[in-house]
Amino acid sequence: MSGTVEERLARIEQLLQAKPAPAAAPTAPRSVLGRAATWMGAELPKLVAAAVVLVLGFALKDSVDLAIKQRQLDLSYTKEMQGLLIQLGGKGSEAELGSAATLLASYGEPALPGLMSHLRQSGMGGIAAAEGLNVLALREPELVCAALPRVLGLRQQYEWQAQEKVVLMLGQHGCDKARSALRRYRGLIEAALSGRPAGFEALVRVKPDGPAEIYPRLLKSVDAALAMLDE
Amino acid sequence: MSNKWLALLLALGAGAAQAAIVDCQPQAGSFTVLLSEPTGGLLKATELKPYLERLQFELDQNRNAQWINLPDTPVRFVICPGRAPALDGRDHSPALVDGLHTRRVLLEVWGLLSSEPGPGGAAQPSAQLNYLLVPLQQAANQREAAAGALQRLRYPEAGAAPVLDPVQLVARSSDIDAFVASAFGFKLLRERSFDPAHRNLCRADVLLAELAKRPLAGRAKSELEGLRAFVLTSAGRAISEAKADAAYSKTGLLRLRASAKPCDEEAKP
Repeated sequence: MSGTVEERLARIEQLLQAKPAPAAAPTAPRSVLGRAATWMGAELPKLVAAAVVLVLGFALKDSVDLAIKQRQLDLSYTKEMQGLLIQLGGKGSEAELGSAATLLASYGEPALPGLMSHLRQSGMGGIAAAEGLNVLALREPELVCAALPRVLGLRQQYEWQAQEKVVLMLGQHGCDKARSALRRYRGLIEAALSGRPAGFEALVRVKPDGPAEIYPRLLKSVDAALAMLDE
Repeated sequence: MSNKWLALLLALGAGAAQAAIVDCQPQAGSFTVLLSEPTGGLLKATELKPYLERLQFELDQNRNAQWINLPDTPVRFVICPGRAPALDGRDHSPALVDGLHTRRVLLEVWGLLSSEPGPGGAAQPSAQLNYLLVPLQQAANQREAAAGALQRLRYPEAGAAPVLDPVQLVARSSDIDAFVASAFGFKLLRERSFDPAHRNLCRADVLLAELAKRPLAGRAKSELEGLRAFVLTSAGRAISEAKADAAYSKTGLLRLRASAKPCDEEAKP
């Protein structure tokens, strides 16, 4: 190798210019989407985002409409049920109370709070509310089975008579998931029978009169319910 | 809601509509005797409530009750305007009786008030009263041994002087005391209050024996005899269960009694 730097650079340039350019790759026929994407260029993401929003909006609108309609239905049910609830809490005859509770149950889930509330009543109102819950459980057992066990855990809300009705309903309607609530309740009764009634008395709204009759009766009811669940 | 479901509900409502009995709240903290409305043509609708109020006053405050009270839990009479059970007792379903029993109702009294020709042809009030002994009916509903839960008596009794006041016709009688003592004694036995249970049952035996001296006939007589036998059996149970109960006082008086002759040493009232 000889020559000046300039000469050497000139030779390299000549060599580069003399080298033939690589043959261009054959262009594949482009798809419609590809051509459209090329055509839209930077506008494409905006269009995709708009389409997604449209689809989501359509789907959401349906579910929101459904939810609104459900709420409107519940509200109208509440208004319709008001008369029946007043009747159930009033001084009607046994037949009137029973009819009110049964009709309330026909409203399904919206009737549940009213029936649970009237279960607090002693006497015929409570009996009618329990019958209403029984009817409701025939239609929607999961709903009633989920709601009833709370009665056995709420403090000072219900009297023992209402709790006993709940215990028997849990067994009669096969509420399997209520086993633990029933066993806890049974434990409190057993403690009361052993001379430690504080736990049970804290649970009920009114201390039972004649506990020597009541506690064995309640224990028998809980055992009957658990036996029904084990069948 | 399907048509079938609606039809079922309407059928239930129509079936239940035949009964006519309203609730009556017992007095809290006491044992209760419910005085329900009588049926019959003797009293007008507007006279029923005043009649019940006078009857309640007579029974609750105006005389000496012959049953044995507990020191802290009295027996109270409560009137139930608007509650008129069927005379044959068919309105008292097991659920209804249980609802009464768990609220410590001992007795429900109702019946028929009418008028009939007395001596000289003048009309005088007459009554057919029903006494439902709630704890006994509850036991019967639970298939336990119990007898004579529903007692029926007619007033005025044969040979008695005529009484023109329908309240005095009913309230003067000591019959109600016999039935209260019977129901109270049995209720206390279920609550394992053995001493007052025994005392009331033995008192009931004496009062029922007096009642049985009347010229009763037919079913009224046999029901009364059945009740008296049951009361004596229950008094014996009070003694044997007290002796077997570890919680019963070691110095309890019932330990000295024999269950075979439970009421032999009772003083007459």
